[in-house]
Amino acid sequence: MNTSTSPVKQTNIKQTTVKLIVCHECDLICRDLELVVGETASCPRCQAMLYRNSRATLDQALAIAVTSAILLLILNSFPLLTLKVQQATNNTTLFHAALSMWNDGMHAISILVVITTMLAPALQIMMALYVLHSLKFGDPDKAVGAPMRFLQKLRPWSMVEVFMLGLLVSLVKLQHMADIIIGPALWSCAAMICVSAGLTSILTPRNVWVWAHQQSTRRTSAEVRHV
Amino acid sequence: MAGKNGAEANLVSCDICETLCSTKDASLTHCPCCGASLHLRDKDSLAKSAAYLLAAAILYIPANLLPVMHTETIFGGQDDTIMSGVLLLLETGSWPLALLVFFASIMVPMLKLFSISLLLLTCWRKSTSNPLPRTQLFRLIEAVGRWSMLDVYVVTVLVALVQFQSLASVHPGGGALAFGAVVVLTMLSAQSFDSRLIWSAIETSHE
Repeated sequence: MNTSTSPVKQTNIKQTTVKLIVCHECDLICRDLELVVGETASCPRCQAMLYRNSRATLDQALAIAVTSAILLLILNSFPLLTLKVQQATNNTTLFHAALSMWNDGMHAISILVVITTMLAPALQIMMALYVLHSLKFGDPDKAVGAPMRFLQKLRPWSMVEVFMLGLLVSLVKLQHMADIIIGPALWSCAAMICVSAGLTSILTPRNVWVWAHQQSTRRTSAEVRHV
Repeated sequence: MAGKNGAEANLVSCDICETLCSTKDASLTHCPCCGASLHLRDKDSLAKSAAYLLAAAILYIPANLLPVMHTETIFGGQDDTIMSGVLLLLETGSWPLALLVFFASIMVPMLKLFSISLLLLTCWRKSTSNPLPRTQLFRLIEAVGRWSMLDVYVVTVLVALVQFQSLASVHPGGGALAFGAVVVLTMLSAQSFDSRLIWSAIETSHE
């Protein structure tokens, strides 16, 4: 993107003539151009993705968030794997796995497992639901900043997909010594990874602000009609 | 304006909502649009990152030497370190899986320790060479970092499942604790590193 000489007001700007965006990774000022649906804008200097024009709507995001909440509930309440050795069977849910670490004296690991596989994903989905709900039904201009900030911070600590891979590795390790029955939570886990990947890709700050803007203009026009 | 750096133009972009804010107004510490705190560069970024990295490097030694789990069967007990777990997988399981675990648990932490040290050193010396590959390296570290948690989860699942009193049981070892700490510390180290510092050396050298 070449240098342009458009003046920039030195206040809290939302540019009207030329919209600008600063690259998060290398601090280069770039022009914020309108994109065709599906297109992605990246920084010309460090190639970081700046923004994407996705077709996603608020309703789609809300639907995906509700779906992942249901899948998360299943993941947490049903057994992941059941092990059969002779007459004895042993199954484990996510919480039991963390609990057995605690009982074995590994408190820090137990807490780490609870945070990364239960707490962080649950908070993430709750925050997403809260943001989307207040956009859809509440006041779109209020109460979105703080949860979005929290959501961005939380993202790297939710490791359900790594846990899933860990499950698969243990499955291979165990298959020599016992019969294994795959529990409903494992399937739910797999589904949740796909669904929440979709949610992450559309619940971007940029989309949220676009939706907030859409909702408030829709509401004002409705009020005008009402008057 | 476009093509310059935000810092030179006294502009900072809000991390959350991308609103451009002026840094000339000192009273403006939070984004007027979403309320996030604004900062041009994190001043202590390198020091914080280095501190986390040092702690991770120290813990990396017990993480590899101490057993991550102890298996008790009717044939006797056995201690497994991360490397012996990989070798065991290679013997009994399949090599793709052994490769996967080797990559996630041994290569990735090592790669992270080396790469973050490299990034920190070059940023300290305000190096202007190869900014793009360094940024890409940083992006890679952030992307693969969490996958080294794999072994911690494998141990957790095995400890939870393999509890058949006299027949077989698995217990966690101290190595798992050290290993978990290495993963968390290297993640914190990568998160506190401000990638814009790679480019700010170039900005000043142009002036």
